[in-house]
Amino acid sequence: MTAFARTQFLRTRLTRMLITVIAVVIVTFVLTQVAFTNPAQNLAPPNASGETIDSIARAYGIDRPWYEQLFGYFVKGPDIQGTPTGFLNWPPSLGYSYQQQRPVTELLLEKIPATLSLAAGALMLWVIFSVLLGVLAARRQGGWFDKVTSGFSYTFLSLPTFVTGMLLIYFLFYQLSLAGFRFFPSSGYVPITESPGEWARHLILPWLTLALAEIAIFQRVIRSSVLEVVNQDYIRTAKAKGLSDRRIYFGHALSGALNPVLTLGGIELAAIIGGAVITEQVFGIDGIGRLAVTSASSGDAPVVIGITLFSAVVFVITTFVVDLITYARSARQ
Amino acid sequence: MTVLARRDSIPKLTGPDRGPKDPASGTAAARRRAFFRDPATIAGLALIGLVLLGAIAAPLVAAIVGHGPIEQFPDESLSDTGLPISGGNGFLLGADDSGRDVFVRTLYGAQVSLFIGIVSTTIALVVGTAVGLIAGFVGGRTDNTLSAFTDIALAFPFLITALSVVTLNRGPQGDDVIDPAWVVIGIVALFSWTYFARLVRGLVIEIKQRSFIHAAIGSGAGRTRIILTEILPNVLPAAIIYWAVQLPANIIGEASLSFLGVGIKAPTPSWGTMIANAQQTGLYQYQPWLLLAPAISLFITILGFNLVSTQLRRRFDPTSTGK
Amino acid sequence: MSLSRRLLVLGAALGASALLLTGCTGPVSAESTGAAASGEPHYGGTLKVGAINDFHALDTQTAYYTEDWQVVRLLSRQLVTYPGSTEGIGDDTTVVPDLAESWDVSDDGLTYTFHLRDDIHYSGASDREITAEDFVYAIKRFPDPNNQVSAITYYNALLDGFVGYREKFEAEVPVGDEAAVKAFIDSNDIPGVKALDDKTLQLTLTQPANDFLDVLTLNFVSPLPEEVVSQYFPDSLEYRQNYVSSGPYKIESYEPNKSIAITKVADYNAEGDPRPSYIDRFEIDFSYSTADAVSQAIQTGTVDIGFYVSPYPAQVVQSYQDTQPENLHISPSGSQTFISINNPNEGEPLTDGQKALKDLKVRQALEYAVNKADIVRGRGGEVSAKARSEILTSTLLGYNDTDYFPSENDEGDPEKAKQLLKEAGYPDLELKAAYSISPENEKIWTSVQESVKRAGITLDLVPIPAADYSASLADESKRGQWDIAQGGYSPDWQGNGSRMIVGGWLNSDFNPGYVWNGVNYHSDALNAEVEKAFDAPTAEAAEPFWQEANRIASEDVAWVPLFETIRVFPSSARVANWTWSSLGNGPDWASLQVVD
Repeated sequence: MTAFARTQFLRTRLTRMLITVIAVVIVTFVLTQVAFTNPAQNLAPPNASGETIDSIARAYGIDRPWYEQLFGYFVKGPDIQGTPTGFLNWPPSLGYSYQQQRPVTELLLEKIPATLSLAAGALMLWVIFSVLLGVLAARRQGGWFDKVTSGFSYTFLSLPTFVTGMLLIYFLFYQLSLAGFRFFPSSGYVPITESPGEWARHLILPWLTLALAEIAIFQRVIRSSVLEVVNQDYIRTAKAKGLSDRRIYFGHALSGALNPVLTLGGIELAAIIGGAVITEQVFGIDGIGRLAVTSASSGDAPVVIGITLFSAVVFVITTFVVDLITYARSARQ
Repeated sequence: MTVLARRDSIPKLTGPDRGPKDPASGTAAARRRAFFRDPATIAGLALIGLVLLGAIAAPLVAAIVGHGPIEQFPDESLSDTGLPISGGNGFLLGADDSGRDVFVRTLYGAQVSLFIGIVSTTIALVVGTAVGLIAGFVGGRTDNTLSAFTDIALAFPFLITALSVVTLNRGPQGDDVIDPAWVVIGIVALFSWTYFARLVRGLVIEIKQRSFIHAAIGSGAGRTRIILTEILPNVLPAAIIYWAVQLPANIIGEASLSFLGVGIKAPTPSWGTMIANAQQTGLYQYQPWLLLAPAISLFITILGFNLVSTQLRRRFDPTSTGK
Repeated sequence: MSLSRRLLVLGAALGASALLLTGCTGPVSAESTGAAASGEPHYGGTLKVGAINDFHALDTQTAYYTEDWQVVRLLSRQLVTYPGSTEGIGDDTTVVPDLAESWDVSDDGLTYTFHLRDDIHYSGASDREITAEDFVYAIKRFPDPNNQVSAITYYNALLDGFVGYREKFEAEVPVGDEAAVKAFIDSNDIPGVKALDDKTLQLTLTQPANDFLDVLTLNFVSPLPEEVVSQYFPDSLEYRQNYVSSGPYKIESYEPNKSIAITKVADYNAEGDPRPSYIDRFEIDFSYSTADAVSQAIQTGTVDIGFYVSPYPAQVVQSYQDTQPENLHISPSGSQTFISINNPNEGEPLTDGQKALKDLKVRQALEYAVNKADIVRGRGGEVSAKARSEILTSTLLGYNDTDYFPSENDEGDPEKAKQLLKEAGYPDLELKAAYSISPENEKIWTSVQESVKRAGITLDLVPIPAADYSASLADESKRGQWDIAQGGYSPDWQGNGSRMIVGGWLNSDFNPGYVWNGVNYHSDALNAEVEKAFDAPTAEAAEPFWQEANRIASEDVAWVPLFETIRVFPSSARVANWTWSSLGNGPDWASLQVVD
């Protein structure tokens, strides 16, 4: 690809990403407008007069037509309780939460570390074990290890995360604690800045829950990709030349097998960062996913829009980065 | 976690097992024979058969034991303090905290899971295939628009959007505007058609280059005719195999929505709702079947479809070989 | 999750008899548990608490959930309070001095003059001394449009000149402008609320009220330092993070939906504080997702008590009864869950169901159709709930201990119900029933649905998300969406608190014109009895009138009582000196002890 073509490619991609994100926001905006009726009524005490409700609606700018509100969201909306709204502020403001009475940006920033911790740890576990199990299974294809990992894979592929999470809590927290071994907490999140040890201890079960499902897939993906590569001519040649097994499998074959893993892994990772709704719910981790559930169920439209926007941004950026890496790898080979 | 976003690039869950070139080789008949002889297929089909049998037999079982799926029998099945029995008294797997028969409900749950899974996946297949055919065949601006559309749909977080979509279903009377089952079907289909669209579009672009299409265009056949008679038959097998791959993911999708309380509503028996009920009440420690019955059923269903769809892909899917 | 929103109460009076007690003694452990049996109070330690929900409000003026009150009691003091009782929630009825050392009541019963204690300081975001002016500020803050205080109704009716002040406030101050709020408060006065000097507060009433002191035990009138509080929006995160405490504890750190740490104030002047405050530190973890998760944490000793868990799962209660009954704490609560009827006899019916319910026979049929025993069983049996058919509960003055609609084992009498419906001309009644979504409520309503079917009534369930529930019921435009709905109350105070229910809600003369839980009721006979009770000089004299008013409302089925809640709390073995609080409708945290 020439330099010009590359710029051209980048420009199209970036435009498309921007359009995607904007479209997601507009759709969510309209959706929440229709879905969550009369937020002012919900904010007022049960017996509030019509005037009180109207004045609340005015204060939050929710008495205006939806297109004006949308315009305000993207450009500059009214100040709500001292918080500016709209994108044309610095930093861009994502609005003001009705229920929590706080800027949405502040809420998101507060919840992101927990969700990121969850995603990062799960990713570590899933990459390490997928590679290890996948390659080892490929090396002794059809052997007992391959069969066991295949069984493992089908098992966790067929268990929804909420069931895995419940089982882990029941056995590793409840039964173990009753038996006197109190290591795993049942829920909660401790920031890494507060205590790295506690942070990890609280996240082990959620990490496992997410990672088990992912390992189930990726272990098999890596195994079959490795097998395909191993059977190609250049590897056979290398083998014939006496290259060691380990270098063949963990070096050449694995590197050749990475592309599908990257593509799929990127999407999965984006989805988890965008809100591991069920895992956070089951383990009481106060992250983006849990915030999404409480906000959606209480009709807190600005937060729902903010989270959707965040998720979409993470998704397009992750897929973009994955594409770049794939491209760079193909250019090098 | 978006359970539906998983199959996008169609990973192969099992690679070649008997020699490097085995899977997609041989004649169609030979492949079919090999497919049906594979123990994994047999096991998968057996599991699916079991679930189907349960779904079909549900009304029959209900009639035999005399317990409807939403009927309550508190006097026969609950203690004075409201704790359910875990068996006996004509309740094979005991009762739940409202005195309903867990076994009967689990069987009816199979109907719900299969119905929602199959209908939503089929809708996704039809919509996705249509979009993919048009985008791939017409190309140009249409393709760009449709692809952008697909990109946008992919960027939505599944569960988070689903949570707000569900509130749309609350009518002015406070009750559901349409049956929640259809809302769930709609949401799940909405989040899975994109994968069919991408798959089909890719295949169409490939097929378009082949000579018989050029020949058809040359002979003056209309676009619609070419799409329907020449292209569709060539992409349909892959799409159908993909349907089988997507189905278990969509069944989990329904269960997840129900688990979060935005899917099928109580007292309609859905495995997701039953598991949520077991978790929220904590009664599973006392009456394990409350959790085990729906969880094992869900497991068996997903496992069965996963086994079969993997074998299907391995032996028949043109997109998963030789790359 | 307890959704029992507390009552709005219109006040009344209390005789001088309550002045006898001085509040210097904390309750002595009667229910001695575990290691505290030695009798020596055990100071210090940390109480760990597992919660499903964060607070609904912490601002002393907006907090109106029983659970929130349990914590607010640690962080604020009032003029007078209840000390807590080791016997039960209903026994915590003695008004004792708190920040007020003493008070005088004028002969006409209209003027109350409170003499405040010296040298009591705030903690947290302010440490200055508490003055009478701080009470005046707090009361003047009620109509703040950013605050939305439901309890305003009490003070609106009782305090001289409050109505005019409130109307001017509402007319002049817009929502969202705290500077305008402060300016208004600083330049306007309520005639009936005066600080005579730093230590003397005078309140003037519009009418004598025999439970005015009970009204003042509620946290709505707690001292607040204007110079700090006026900087923040009421109950906002900043407000909570810069919380000014007037009580024995202060907020050390708070992260919404995650955790809060509450610690004992160093150098706290405990003189005259009826809260013994044994424990040094409370840590509440809001990350639990279900009642079961909290119960597991208590059983494993990860936490000591639960918060916002109501009721505890039946199997947990049973396992405590079987294996460690000393750690299970049980008390009647006076709280009731009932089926409220949309406009039983006032207002135009909007649906066929509402029209039918105007007929007393139909309402009585509903009473007979419901299987209350089944609902009680679903709540965990007789230990957790008692089937009721009286509007007032057992801990309140006016309770008659009578079953107005008797049936065998409280299972209902479908035949009688059918007969009544036939007589009324509604053999195939269809009703729309609204309730707030939760697993507990789902259970109640599937049971009601099944049981009324026996009498030929078809119920259409209308589940409403918890966050929208009370707003939905109050919304006039949604009145056509439901015929019956789940309602509940938890008395603001026990004993002489009856008139808030039969008076505040059901008396159409006294009710200022709002509809509570959809009940818009009218009965001349009831109004007359309530009037007599109002005029009674003492609670004792008022009792027969309350009993009569209760009988009238119950027989006329103003709503359909289902059950009275019995509070059942498991605790870890570390918790000792279990004490009940009327205000928190649960444990009195200030009296608990932890023993390791």
